[in-house]
Amino acid sequence: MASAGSGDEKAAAAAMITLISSDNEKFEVTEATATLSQTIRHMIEDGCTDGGVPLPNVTSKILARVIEYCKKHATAAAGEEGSSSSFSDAAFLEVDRAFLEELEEFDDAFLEVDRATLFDLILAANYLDIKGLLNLTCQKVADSVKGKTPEQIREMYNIVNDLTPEEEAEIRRETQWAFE
Amino acid sequence: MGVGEDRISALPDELLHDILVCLRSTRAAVRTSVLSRRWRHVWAHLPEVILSGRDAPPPPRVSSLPDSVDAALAAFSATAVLLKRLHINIMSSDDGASQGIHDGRVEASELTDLVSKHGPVLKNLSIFVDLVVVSDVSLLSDSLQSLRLFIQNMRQLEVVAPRLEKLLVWRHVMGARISCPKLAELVWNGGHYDPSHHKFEDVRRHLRLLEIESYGAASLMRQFVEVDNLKLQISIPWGTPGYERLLNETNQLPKCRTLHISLLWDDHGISPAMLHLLRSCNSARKVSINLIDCRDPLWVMS
Repeated sequence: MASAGSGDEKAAAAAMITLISSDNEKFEVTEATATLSQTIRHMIEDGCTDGGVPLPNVTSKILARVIEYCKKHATAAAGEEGSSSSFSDAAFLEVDRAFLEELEEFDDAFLEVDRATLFDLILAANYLDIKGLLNLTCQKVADSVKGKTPEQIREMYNIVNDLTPEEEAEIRRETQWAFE
Repeated sequence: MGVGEDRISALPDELLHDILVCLRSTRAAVRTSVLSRRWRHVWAHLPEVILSGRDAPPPPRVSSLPDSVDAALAAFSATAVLLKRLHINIMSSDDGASQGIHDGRVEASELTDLVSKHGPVLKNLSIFVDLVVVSDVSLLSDSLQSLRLFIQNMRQLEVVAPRLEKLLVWRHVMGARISCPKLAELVWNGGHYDPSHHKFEDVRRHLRLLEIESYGAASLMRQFVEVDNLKLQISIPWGTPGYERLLNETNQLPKCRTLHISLLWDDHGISPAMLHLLRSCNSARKVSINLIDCRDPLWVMS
């Protein structure tokens, strides 16, 4: 893609791909949106997307969210490409900054989901290999854990402590430096 | 998908690693080992270790930097050969009350030991430290690809790293010997540059990125014939000799594709200096200029 001329890029942007969720729902998306997923990008490169791309690991509910994310961020990526080929000027940078802020707001709002959805998004981002979405969702989980005691983390994520008190004491001894 | 289901523990290890890396604190990651049996060894295979003074002060009983790093690394399982990135952030401001390493100061030899000890696989290393006394730092590594140094009290810096591609030097350094034949990206904020004291040996003449952020280091550009992306921070000195030196230093810029100049907004000499710079670099296809207004904390774009 990087070496393609602007004419080719337009043609690629117009090409549509059909994604098929595990519950058999079909989603039409532009190639630019779909290729935020490295997994789908490779499928397109291998020419095996005719008749749609089945995604047996992703439900329609989650796929719809993932596509929403990719659409927004594909626009952002296109914007970046455009800026590198033209001179930056104050007005352009202003627009750029506003757009980045908007993108940040979008990400924040996007993450306003229940825990189950968050984990489904992590698994989907991993399976589809969408780096930005994976970072975003993993960071959300990490932020929720920051500054919490092990007890609080267990409670928050329903983790059952199956260590015996002796085992737990032993681990704490081994890793004492981390608890000081 | 019942309420009360433990979704996080069901994630594969690689995803738990991604989450733990996002904590940006090795200590916090290690503390997850007591959550349950599932979590006991997850952290021990993390690809990245961050030892940060703010988030994770070194253990009080440990007397040297390699030991404190080892205290963290020793618990990593013997098979954890994948440690590729290490960030050490031990600044004095974090804990001023105690002494030695505890007040965030280390000896230069400890850094040398650290790098050679974890050499074989370590690829990315960032060091934020204050040295106890002004001293020389020598880093020799066959594996490092990216090195970022924020070291206070450094007199002479030696970096011999055959695979190093990215180097960032942030604090003032009086002298240097850099032997990095694969160097492609250099960020220099190491203060005044003097070719007789700061020696780049075995360094290619073509860089992907050169960023010079120190005033008085413009002549570092002469080391290089071609730089794809050149970023310069420049101040215009008062007085004729200083001004002439600047013009002289920037007489011939490396051949570059994009040129980015940051100038301190001042009321003297800016127009001729800009014209001079632009004339010295007629190969650039993209030029951007930042004017920094000293009276205004916000950067003024022009």
